[in-house]
Amino acid sequence: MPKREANLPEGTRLTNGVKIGRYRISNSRVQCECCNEVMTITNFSRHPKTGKGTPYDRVRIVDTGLSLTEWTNLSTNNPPVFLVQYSDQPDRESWVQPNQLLMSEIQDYFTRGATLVKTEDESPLPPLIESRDPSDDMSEEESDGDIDWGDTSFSVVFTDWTSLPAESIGRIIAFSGYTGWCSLRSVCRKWREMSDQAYYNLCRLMPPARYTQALQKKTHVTSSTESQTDLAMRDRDALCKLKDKN
Amino acid sequence: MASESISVTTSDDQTIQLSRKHAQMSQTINSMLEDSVGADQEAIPLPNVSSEVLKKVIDWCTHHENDPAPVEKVKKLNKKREYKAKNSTISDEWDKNFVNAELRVIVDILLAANYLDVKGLFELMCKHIANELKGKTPDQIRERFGIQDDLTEEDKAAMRKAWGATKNDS
Repeated sequence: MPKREANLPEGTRLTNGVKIGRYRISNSRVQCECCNEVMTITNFSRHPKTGKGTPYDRVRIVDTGLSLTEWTNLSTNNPPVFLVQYSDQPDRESWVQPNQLLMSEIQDYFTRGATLVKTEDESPLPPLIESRDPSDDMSEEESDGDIDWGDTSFSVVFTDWTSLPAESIGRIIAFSGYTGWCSLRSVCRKWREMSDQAYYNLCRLMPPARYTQALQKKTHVTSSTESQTDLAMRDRDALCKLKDKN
Repeated sequence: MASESISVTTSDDQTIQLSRKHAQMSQTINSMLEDSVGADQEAIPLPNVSSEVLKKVIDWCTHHENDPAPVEKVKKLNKKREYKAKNSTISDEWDKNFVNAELRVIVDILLAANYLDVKGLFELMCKHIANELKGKTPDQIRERFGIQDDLTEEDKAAMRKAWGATKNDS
């Protein structure tokens, strides 16, 4: 079975500087629970009323349909995702609470970190999180031991969403039909390969008449004057030829 | 006489007890049990399943413990020769509630169901993901799953030529 999570132990630092591990947060600081390294999030403005350093003007609150724990995409050739996971599992209504705003900023950093990885030739973005020594630059009332870290923490884990088991791709196509296959194979290379294989297997298993009937679905995919059946038949033939050739 | 409960050890080193009935709903565990008949009953290691996910799997098994065995369903299906795209409607209210979870959890359960070979659960998760994909453009799917578009313009042009344009390409 393909492994979805890479075997990256806590403390592993990735090429963009993000480290796998659990973190505690308090105001503008995050502390790694693994090595107690304290990082400060910089460059965000003060709240107009409280003066606290919550990143109100920099936070992207975008309804992507994702929950906070389903997070974003850092990329090289094998796109991983950094998952920022709250210990208290907030629901979406808690998006706008200060801690969550801070989390969004951290998440934004991870996203920008991805850009750093992807565009090595370009000038790197200034870091939003600056690593520093725990004892360095602490105010008097905020010595390391006095920080109230609260009970909100998050984890950074390495996730590869593309690694759905190949068997499941076949099932998903069986449930979503021809257009499901079209959409799936257009997402990324890995899914394209798995989708084509699954589709080919469906072709082999199904008698043509049943097959075309099975894959007829009213969906957004079509552009030409060809009917879904025509397209399905042509795709099926093309795939079979491709497989025979290989 | 075989014990009524089975111990398994999860990827996060938790030892969890599950009933033999639930354990046997997993073909993977079932095979392990059959292979170890007469041997000391040590906890079965499940290195690919976390305790959080295993508890979900057990929840599902508990709800579906009286369902017909998957083998019977397959036999019925073959007899009727129903080779058509499967209905992805999730009719069981409990199942609807069960899949109402974060995508991360859904994928974790899918992976666990695949590894443990719990067919009904695997089908349910695939059905749910298929429903998530339906009607979405590749762009929207990428966004939903957090996947980077690594297809080149050449790839996309070839796809348009071979398969016809999609809404996403317009």
